[in-house]
Amino acid sequence: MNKHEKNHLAELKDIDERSVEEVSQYYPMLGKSAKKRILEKCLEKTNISEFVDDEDTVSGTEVYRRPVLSRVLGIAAAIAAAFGAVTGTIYLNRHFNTPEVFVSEGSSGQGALINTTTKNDEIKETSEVTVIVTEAATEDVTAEVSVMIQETMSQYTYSTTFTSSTTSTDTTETTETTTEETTDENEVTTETATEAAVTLSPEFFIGTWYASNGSETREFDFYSDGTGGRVYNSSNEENFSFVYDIKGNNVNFRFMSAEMESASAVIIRYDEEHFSLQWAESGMTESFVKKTA
Amino acid sequence: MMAYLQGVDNMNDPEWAELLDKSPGEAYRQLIDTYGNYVYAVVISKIGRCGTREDVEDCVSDVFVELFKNKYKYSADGGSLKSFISMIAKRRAIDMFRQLTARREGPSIDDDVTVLPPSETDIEEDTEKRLYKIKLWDTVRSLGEPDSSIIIYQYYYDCSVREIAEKLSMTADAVQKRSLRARKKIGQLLGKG
Repeated sequence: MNKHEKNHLAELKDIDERSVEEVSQYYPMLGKSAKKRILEKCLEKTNISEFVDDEDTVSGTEVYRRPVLSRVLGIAAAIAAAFGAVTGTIYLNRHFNTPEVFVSEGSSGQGALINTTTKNDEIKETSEVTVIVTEAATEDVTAEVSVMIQETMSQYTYSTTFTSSTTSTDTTETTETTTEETTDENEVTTETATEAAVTLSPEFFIGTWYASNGSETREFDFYSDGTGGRVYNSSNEENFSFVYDIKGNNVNFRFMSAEMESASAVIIRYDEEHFSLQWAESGMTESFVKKTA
Repeated sequence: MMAYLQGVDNMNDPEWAELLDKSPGEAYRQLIDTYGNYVYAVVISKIGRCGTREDVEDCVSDVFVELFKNKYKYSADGGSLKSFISMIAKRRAIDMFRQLTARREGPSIDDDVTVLPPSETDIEEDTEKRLYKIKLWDTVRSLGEPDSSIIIYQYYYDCSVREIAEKLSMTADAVQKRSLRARKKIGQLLGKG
């Protein structure tokens, strides 16, 4: 076959539609195996084309539903946060609130201790943690003061003044401060009581005492009967008698002056040759020194 | 089930569309049996020069898949099912030709499309070419069997001698000798014409 002939036959593919139909009818190309291959390809492409079909249509309306659950949860979370903020604020206020630890002036050590305990009870309402600490401090105070009371109150009556204490630190420190102050005060009292080897009785006062309150000097002469005496004021040279009686550490005087005035005082410290008292009416403290022979 | 026995040709429109829905495999089988060779002939006439046999079979399967996807677009009022399939086959074959030529940087099918108005010379050449094709086809058909089949299978379907021998139940040597004689005869007949 020459080139020209081959080119002629190559144009056999460019036949018209009628000839194509005749070719397919009289000269079929596909055998069983070819048909099977094409069938498999069709099935394979049909399955694949279901996913890549770009002629999919969308119809209908999808109803939008608001996320109710998330909204409810959001509200609940907001409420919980607000509640937490309020609770936290209250807690912090109570926790860091400066407790006004004050020990009021008591007529006795026991009275002062009661006041301190009361304050500790108030703190107990605030916080359990604080309660533990303050209770521990209270126990210390109670123990020490109880011992001192047992040592001193069995024989003497005395008046103890505790200063009020206000701290800006936390409750535990405040309580400790109070405890220290209380302890110091009682230590002084204990020392005083220890130094006083004498008892506070009418016999104690018998004799002559020089008294000074800072502005005037007086001389008290307590008679040996233990019920009365005489006082001489050197500044105005007044001289009148008095009677007295002792109840605990309280001493009641009745001066036989023109006014016939009565005065009560509290013995705040004493020893064999000294004692001090505080006049109830004026609050003035007067120191007495025993006149020695 | 009656439709299965009748074949696609005897099925009316809703029946074969319903068959494609219910049993695509069976519908494909019947369509390929009935129109497979026709589609193959249409496709190979378009891409036979640039595509392999695998490309042709791939394109044929695409035609039937497209038929499956557009089964409800077909209406008997617009023509026969064969015409509908023919239209799909030509379109898919042209698409495949463009893909193959673009891939292989071969000739574009657009080269065959006349954009400018044809001149008198073009019309004359086109007419001569069309007449020559008809004459060539008639010449091949006039060879008689099995020479016509050998030439068509060899030059239209691009089958090998061995394949032709199997199809025609002949030996490869006999196919080779007959092919040689048929081509000489075609040359003589066209030369005389």
